[in-house]
Amino acid sequence: MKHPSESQLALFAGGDLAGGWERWGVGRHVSRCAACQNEVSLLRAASAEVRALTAELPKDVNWNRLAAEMTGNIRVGLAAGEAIARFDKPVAPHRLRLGWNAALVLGCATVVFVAAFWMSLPQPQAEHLMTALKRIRTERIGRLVQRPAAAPDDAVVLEASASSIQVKENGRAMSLMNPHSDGVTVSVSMRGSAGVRYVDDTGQVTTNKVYYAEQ
Amino acid sequence: MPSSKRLTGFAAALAAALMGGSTARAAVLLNIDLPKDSPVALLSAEHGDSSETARGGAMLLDLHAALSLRNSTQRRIHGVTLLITAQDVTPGGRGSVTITSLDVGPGEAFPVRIDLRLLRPLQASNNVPVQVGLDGVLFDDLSFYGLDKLGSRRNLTLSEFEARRDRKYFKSLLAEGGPQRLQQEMIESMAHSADRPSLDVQMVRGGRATNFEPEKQVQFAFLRLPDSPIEPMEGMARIAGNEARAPRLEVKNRSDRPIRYLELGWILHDRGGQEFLAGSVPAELSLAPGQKSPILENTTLKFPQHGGQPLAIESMTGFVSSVEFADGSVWIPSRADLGMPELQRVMAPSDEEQRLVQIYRKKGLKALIAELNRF
Amino acid sequence: MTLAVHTLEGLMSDRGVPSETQASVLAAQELQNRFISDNLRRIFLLIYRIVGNVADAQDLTQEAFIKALQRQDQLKDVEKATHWLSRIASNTAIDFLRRNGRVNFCEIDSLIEPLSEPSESPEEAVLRSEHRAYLEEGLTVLTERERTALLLRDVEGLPADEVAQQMSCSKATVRSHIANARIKFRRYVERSRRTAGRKQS
Repeated sequence: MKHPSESQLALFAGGDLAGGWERWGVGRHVSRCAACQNEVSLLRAASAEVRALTAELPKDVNWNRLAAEMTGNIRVGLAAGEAIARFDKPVAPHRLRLGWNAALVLGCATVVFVAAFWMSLPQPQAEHLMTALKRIRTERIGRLVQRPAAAPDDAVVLEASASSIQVKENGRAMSLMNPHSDGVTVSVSMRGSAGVRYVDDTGQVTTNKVYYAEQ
Repeated sequence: MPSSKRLTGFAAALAAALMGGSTARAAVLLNIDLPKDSPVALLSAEHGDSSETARGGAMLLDLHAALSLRNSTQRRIHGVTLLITAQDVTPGGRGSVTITSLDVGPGEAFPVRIDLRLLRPLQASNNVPVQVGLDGVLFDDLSFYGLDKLGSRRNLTLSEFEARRDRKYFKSLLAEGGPQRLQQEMIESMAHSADRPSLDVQMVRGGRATNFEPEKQVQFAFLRLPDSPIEPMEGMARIAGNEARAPRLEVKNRSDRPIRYLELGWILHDRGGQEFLAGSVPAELSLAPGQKSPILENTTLKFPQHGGQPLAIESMTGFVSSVEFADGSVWIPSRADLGMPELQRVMAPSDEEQRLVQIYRKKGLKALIAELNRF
Repeated sequence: MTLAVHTLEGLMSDRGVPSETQASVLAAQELQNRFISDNLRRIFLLIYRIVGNVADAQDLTQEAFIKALQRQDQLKDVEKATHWLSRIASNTAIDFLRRNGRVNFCEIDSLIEPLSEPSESPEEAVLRSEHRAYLEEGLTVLTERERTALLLRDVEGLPADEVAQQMSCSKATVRSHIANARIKFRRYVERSRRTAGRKQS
């Protein structure tokens, strides 16, 4: 009797023979041939070994630490990717859904406007008042109903710590790092700069600074 | 200024990006760009331990460089500021490396370290040029050379005046109380530095809330420095938990000269009794003698939790930390002013004091005295 | 900085009790965190077995999760999302090998190459409590394309035509890889047993 090839048996062992006819033929042979049955068993056993092996971690890997590091990096990567996506794609203007109290405020503003007209308030002043009312109140309402504000970290533009200072922009960042973390002096200017000063082993005083400029 | 001569220091090749579809190798190209008439010349630029690391969807590029610059003038150099930009990464952001308390003679060389890290998306495959330029050089006669894009003239000048003030102070201690007195002062300086709290700070745009703490308006208290040409009149800021937002102040010029710049120090007091210097509130203005002016900043300072209890800001104190008159002269607090307990607790020593303390620590009292006697 | 002042006096809704939208953001984050913790080890191991080293496997694992999680709507159907993640992971690993010029996935290897003797017998490995190391060595006998095809088919359970899609090869080529891998690994195990048997006798 003609035995199937090694490859045919290997594919049959995993249910991977292509044609229905071929599958039937090999299956019929294996059911009647002890040697080929044995071969198929050995192949399936080897596959089981592979499955068991690949479920185990490599030697000397501290899984808890590795998992924690990967999880942290994944979160950083997602946050960076999100910030970049917002920068790269045109942002659809948020549609503010105005609640009932916004309508009330607008109504009040209209009343003010009308009252101003009747009270002969200078028109620009009344319009300014209405605009101001609309901006403040609907801004508040807008915050209630629109998507949550960007994660706080997205608004951070400067960071200063003993080890480094950083300026951030749309998910990208430039840092200046300090080779020393002891004896450093951190400083921040509200005008948009952060600095760290250190004295190196030669006694030279170096101050690293980063600056943020409003776009 | 004449057209610049480009000096390309070196390029560090980085490994290929790993994200699908992006295969190019990115290189960090450090361009050191000094003008033809620059008072400092680049002697050498070496790099080491530069690396790149993929962090999820982002790439971290580290660049460590050691430059050697030479004084190519006949005057002594007391301060240098280099400007660093990486337009492809942070177009709106810049960096600087400033060396102060220098005393570099004609033809002498001094080192400058640049330890830079860039974070950008993994998909970006283009090279990353980093420009290093000269923002300013201050000479011993207080003359200045440079583009001054970062206000380095003012900063280097202020630093120089602080250095002169402190050297004079330490020399007077030595003259009046001998080496022991000087040594005592060094030890006290080190103790103050050790006791001074060091906090991480974040600056947030726009003065908006990033926490859910209840907010309150807090008035500034002011430390009155008797000789200060500026008098702070009143001020307030919004405080919420560990955030301080949008300070508003009013100041008056009580000198007889017009003022063009001032800086106020901002001390925050924590509920737990801790005090720290949060930052400075600078103002460029044109203030005639006797005139008042408001100062407004729409930013938020945030102090992330740094172990232990989160910060809870209770109150604030302001003080004038520097003034620049219209004629370019400056005022800084005297050593007597700095001796006030409220300032001593929070103010860091000047660059020069820190340098002198380091000499004392590393080389001893004799070396310190020898250094003071050089001036 | 000259952005408009936000007057916050009297405003309270953006602080205090989280709004409904904020609660849903938190729930989405929780789902994401669970998705990562449930799949991290499996995906890491799959990629590790394809590329062969921990450092690359770590970076590629991170990338795979980020790619998968950037489409957060996928997480609504967890089973689909898991399958989607596996595909992304293997694609990422395969692309990596391809890009680094290490392998052409569509060349077929010969079965006739003489296999090298294992460096130690199974008995010795067991004695040194490194049975696993012995098996791992068996995997290194395979070429990268054979190993990749075997892992995707026999470990991940992907159908052969899907494996072909991932490896960007024809189904016939992938079937050859799978067959060769099974045969080679089976031969390795058998030869090792024969070697152990010879040493015992």
